[in-house]
Amino acid sequence: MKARKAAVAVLTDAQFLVPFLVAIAGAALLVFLH
Amino acid sequence: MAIIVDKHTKPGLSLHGLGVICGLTAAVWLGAAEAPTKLVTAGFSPFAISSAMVCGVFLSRWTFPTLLKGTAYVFADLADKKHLIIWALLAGVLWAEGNTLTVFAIRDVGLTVAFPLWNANSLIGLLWGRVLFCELKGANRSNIAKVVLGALAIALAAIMLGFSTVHAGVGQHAMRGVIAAIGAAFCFGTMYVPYRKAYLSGMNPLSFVTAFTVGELTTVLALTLALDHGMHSSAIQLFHQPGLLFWLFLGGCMWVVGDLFQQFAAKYVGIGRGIPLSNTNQLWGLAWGALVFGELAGASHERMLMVIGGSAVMILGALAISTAVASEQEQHATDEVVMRECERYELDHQKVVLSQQGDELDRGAGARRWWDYVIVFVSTAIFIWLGVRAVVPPLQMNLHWLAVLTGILLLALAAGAYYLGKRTHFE
Repeated sequence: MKARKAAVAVLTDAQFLVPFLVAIAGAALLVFLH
Repeated sequence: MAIIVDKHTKPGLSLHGLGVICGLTAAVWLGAAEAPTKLVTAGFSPFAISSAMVCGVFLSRWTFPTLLKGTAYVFADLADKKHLIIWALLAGVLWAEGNTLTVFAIRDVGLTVAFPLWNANSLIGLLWGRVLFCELKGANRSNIAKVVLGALAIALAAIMLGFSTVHAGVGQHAMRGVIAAIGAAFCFGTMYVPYRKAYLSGMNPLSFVTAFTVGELTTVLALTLALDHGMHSSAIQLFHQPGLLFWLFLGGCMWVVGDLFQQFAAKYVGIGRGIPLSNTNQLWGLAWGALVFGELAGASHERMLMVIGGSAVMILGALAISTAVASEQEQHATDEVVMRECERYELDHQKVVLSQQGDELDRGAGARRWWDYVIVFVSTAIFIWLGVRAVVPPLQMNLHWLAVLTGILLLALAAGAYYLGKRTHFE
């Protein structure tokens, strides 16, 4: 699978949203707590 | 379909049995990984301790896969499923964030309050396993009860054991600490989503951790620089003390061994069963603290009851999960998830299904190269260099129990590696 096609498949994968959003929330929480 | 039938009829140890052995071996090693860090008693910040340990982790994470499979195999596996690299990096970021949030939580509410909250990670993992990967879908009531009640029992027991060993008061910023602990639970529990995703796509856990550790180390170092006084962090000072650094590197190395088995457990029994099993590490951490370092010396009757009760509940929880073998319907639900991955990411279905069983079509691929030996030699040399300079602080240790627990550790490693090697060639 070509890298570009793979990137699109990952970014449109609903399962990817869960860890991605938790990682963003975790980073925001760290900045807030700091 | 013939391949799937083979999966269930292959003689020898079942994949469920192998996953359980991996989960329990992971617990023994993850619990023991804390022991060497107890020898670093000087007043370094938690960020410094964490970053030094993660450097040891990074070194070991490249060594073991290289030793077992060679870098050519690892890179071929990563290149074959390059869409999973971002997942592995993300998992590393989640681990580093979760670990840093535990630092905040301990600082603000103490370990007694923080620990039970972030230990809920296994329940969050169970939830994601069900929602995202259809784990337990089609399972009979008995298996659902065993897994859910087993996970709850292990979480409850970990809380009891946590309470029995720590007695910190609640700090001034209680709400902030509670939020940090809940955040850590979400980060750790969600970290297993990329794990499972990778293994459902047929990636070897050894390849996954090699990419994972890059995200982990980068984020830990960035957080240390950002949140621990930048270049004035005590981490910088710690890296100039090889006598102390050895213990943290050793802890990191032991943690990697435990984590590798945890990864194989997630592959062979899923995250709903695998995480609670490896979370029994609390029992082994307590054994090291109490028996080797005498942390329960002079403990009250109530505390001892909590230790005995917590240990018994944890063993019962692990037993319940160990006996919850996935039924045909549950296997079928997993096969459907695998098919979805194959269609979405254009993976070879036959290869992926074989990989689920620990068999690979191109097992011979990836011969060892000269740089593999260099990697193993350099990392071993670093450990030896630090080891000969290691300073043992004047801590009272029970050498008899140290020998017994070290023996159990090696026995667990030998058994885990034997079954994993024999059944799957570490695949």
